[in-house]
Amino acid sequence: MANRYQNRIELLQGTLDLLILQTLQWGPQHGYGASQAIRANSGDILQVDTGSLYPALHRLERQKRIAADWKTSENEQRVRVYRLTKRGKRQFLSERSRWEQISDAVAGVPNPAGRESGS
Amino acid sequence: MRLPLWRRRQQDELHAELQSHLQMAAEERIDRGESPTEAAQATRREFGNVELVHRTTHDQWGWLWLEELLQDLRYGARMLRKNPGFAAIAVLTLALGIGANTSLFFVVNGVILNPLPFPNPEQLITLYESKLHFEDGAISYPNFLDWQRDNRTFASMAAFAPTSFSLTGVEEADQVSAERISAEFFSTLGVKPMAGRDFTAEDDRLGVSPVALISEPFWREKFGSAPEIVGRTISLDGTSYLVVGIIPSNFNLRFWNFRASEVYLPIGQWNFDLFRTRNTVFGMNAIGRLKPGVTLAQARADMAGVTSRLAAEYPEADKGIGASLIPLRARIVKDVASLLFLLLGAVGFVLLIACVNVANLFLARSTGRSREFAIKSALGAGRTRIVR
Repeated sequence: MANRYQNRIELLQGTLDLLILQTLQWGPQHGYGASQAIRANSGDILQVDTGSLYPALHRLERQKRIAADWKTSENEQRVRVYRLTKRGKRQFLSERSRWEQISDAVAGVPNPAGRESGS
Repeated sequence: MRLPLWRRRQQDELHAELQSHLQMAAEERIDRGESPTEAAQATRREFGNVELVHRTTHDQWGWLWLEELLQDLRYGARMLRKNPGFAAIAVLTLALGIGANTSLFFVVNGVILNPLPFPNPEQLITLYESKLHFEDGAISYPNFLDWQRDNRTFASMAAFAPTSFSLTGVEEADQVSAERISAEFFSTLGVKPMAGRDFTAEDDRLGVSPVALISEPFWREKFGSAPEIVGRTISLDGTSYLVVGIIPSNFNLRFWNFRASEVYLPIGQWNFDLFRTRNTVFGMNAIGRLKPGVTLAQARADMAGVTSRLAAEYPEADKGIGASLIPLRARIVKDVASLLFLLLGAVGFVLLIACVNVANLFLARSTGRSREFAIKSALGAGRTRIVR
């Protein structure tokens, strides 16, 4: 049981990392911006919990996949802006292709009839 | 004790980052037409527990254990300050136990574990006559001379016998400790005079002019370290002795009945009939240096042969007399070792008891602190954290 639980956490974590890297791919963002972007681009389906977002951002920063600078926003506010590093870009590309394989594979599994409405 | 500066800055920055998030979220709500209070409340709700977010984010930085350790140390120091009596008793108990152990270990170390201050000390063997009821008895001078001449395992062998004299002619008359020694005594040990010369075989017989070696402390005390002392005479029991050399003060050997003395005289000059009688002893023992490579067992066998030949030759005086050989280190240690180890064991137990007492104190206190522990674990403190 504990093992399955751990696997789930890992998957979620990996997915969130991928989402963050994907978002920063379009340009530097602060934490709030990134969460809004993920939400908007997923059609309001994915809501990133701040309790997961900031730990993920800081973890990625520590792994040197993203870097952060303090900047002043349009409305004169100091914000911490994250951007992809070269290393982050490289890893994002390889991870995304893996993700695509997985999602293609999952999509390729036909849904058993009758269960669709129940899920 | 506080967090290092860079760490505090990191904390502040994280705080600012989360605040900016809240502010931006609230501003967006205001733009959408919510009132400032409503917006602030809604963002808070959406955001969740700011402190928790701060904490979990901050966990990602690593070094968390160091921070927790610092926290615990600070907490410990505060507890000690609040409870000085407890702290004092615990520290004092442990200090006593540790102190007793340390000081006794110094003694044991000095006496037993340190090497003797002589070259190849393992070759030095003390010798005694073994006879009925006397395992380590004194040696008669004629026997010693025969041992010295007949053995094949000792590089050199020297006799010594303690005595004392009245020194006259220097300030007030004074009692001085003296040792009659064979000419080879200091060369056997490997000690050289710091000034003048050692005794020679010429000095170590009857009828030659009296000579003496004096110790450095004696020279300093009685003669103010006058450099011209070598070549002058001192008067002991009314007889004049020519001082031929000074024995350095770092020679301070002590064992059995030998004590480093103030004056040394050649034993062979002692003109006393009974001393030269084979069946009479005068508290004289001997020390020898084994030839390189000779074992103690070989030397014992050799001396057994020497003494049995003497017993056959002088049945009246030497019947049943053998030679007892004890290494110098064993001789020194033997007298005190068992007592010292007993003492060491005793203070070891004292330390153990001290530890048990302190443990009891902690136990007694932890019952008093159970409420605190309950709160801590309710707040999510791990078991290790509480114990620490």
